[in-house]
Amino acid sequence: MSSDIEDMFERLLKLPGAEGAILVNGEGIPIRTSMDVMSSQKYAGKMTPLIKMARSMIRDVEPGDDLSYLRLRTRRNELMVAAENDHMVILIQNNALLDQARRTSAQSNRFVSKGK
Amino acid sequence: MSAEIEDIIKRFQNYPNVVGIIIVDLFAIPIKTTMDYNLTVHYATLVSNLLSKASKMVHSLDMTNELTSLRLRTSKHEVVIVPEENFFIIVVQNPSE
Repeated sequence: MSSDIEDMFERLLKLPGAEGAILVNGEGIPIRTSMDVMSSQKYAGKMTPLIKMARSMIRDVEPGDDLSYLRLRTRRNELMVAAENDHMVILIQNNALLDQARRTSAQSNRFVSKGK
Repeated sequence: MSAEIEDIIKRFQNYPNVVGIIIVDLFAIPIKTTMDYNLTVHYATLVSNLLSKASKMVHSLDMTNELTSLRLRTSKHEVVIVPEENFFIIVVQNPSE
């Protein structure tokens, strides 16, 4: 496996609240995962049709536009799904930690713009 | 319900990045919109299907969990979808980053 993908995968797991990450190939098979095999396959299997549907929706409403990523927020966590060419990346993040990181970065952005 | 909807529209319309807001009922019929009619109906139908699929998927992964919002980031926009009890909200906005 190329080191680019390894690097990207490691970076994902360092994101705030990251609970799990799965890299899925064009056939819907998890090729790299931080979770157990069964969960990875379950997530991969369910996300593939969803992202296909989301992507076709975007291309339909706005020709020329394309989907970058999808974020599903649930009561427990957030699922981020991004697809490039054939591959798909699924990232699961804990809500509390993710929100905390967002608040912190929003605060520091405000601080920076006030200083201008 | 319509007062609540008016409130939602008013609140979101004030944000500078918002391109449009559509409120859709549970039959995928738009009940309020700030966008053009054809585009609204288009969004309403497609989002309704997507939302239903996403919602079911979350439930099937964990029966005790539920979808609270869905965000689609595209190269041009960001589409935020929020399901409520009797309707769902679609906000199309320009990404702020």
